Amino acid sequence: MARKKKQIVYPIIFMIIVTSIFTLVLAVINELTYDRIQEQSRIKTQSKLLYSLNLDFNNNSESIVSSYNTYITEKTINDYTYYIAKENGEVLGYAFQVVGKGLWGQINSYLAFDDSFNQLKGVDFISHSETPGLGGRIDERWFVDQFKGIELTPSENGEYLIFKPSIGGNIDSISGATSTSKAVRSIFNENIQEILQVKEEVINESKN
Amino acid sequence: MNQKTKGIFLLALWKDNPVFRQILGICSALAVTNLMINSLVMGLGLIFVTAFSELTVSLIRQYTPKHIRMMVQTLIISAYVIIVDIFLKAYFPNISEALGPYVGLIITNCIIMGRCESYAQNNPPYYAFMDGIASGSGYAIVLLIIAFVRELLGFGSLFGINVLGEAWTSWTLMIMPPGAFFMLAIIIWISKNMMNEDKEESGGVKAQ
Repeated sequence: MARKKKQIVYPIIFMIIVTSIFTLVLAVINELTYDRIQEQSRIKTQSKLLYSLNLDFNNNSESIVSSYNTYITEKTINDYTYYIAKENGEVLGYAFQVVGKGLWGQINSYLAFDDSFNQLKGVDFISHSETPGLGGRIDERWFVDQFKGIELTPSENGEYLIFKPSIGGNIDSISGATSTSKAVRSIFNENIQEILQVKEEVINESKN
Repeated sequence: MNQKTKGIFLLALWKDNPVFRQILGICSALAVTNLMINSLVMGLGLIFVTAFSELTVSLIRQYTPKHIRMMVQTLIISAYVIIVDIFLKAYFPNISEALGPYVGLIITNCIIMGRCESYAQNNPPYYAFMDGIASGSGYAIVLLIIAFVRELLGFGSLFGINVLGEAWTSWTLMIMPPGAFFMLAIIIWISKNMMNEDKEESGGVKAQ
């Protein structure tokens, strides 16, 4: 009996010790690199904002940060965080951060409008947890880029974005990712409608 | 480098290569080989993880209770994989994003656990470490060969630098999954044929 007991206790102690050592090492490394990783992801988000607004930037961190600082002012209205892009006092566009329900989790994106809210300037996805290779393809440039320059005139049932080949369709959905495509469309349609209701306020605010 | 170390490298790089002889690590070999830079980073990551996992497993092999050794190995491997993941996120965010889930999936690469179990468990730390480097290199070299052909034909470039000029028509097939299957199969076929020639001359190759 005694021997059997020893065989249970020793492995448990061994495992606890090994686990603690490795956890400690990983915790230290994580702590040391935490700030750097945060910084990297902040730059990444900034580059997505610039991309959605169709602004020029080179793909390196200094260029992204400097473009961001030159063009962008951050504001909030109702529940929205939005960004005004200005060059020499002239408004280039507005980008709103919108969040909605995707197939597996939240889809977090930027929705950018031109200075008079007549057109979409572009969009970009900040984060999502869609299926890689299917819904995950919303990250691909062909999908993101087709939102550029879409006129904001609602169809009969009040929708701004409609998938081809329906009548009045203006964007392609992703084949094999119907749920994600629908989710993206409804997030954008709902948010466009809400944002357009506050557009006067936003335009006035930007003049100050 | 003594005779035994040379033997380890000869086995891992050619006679007993993890990819084209043992057919291990195929999933990632197919997935990341459309660009040379991704393959290089993946290869280096695997060399690091395999070498240090084998070293650690070998160091504690005499204290590890036999029946929980696989748990311990998995723990060790995952710790090193997390280190690689954190390192890439902090210093090479673009590559980290391009490799996506495959960095985390190094943990499921059969080469690491296979070498820990079959080699590190029964050999002293120095040789275990060397075996890790050798096996990782065997994998990395095959990845680079596949990526060389795929990137060259698929994009007309090597490490992102255009070498075939503007007139080159890219073979889209090569950067899609089927391209990887074709290339891998061709490499296995060629190496098998060459291996058979060796056999006739030297009278048989012993698998380890």
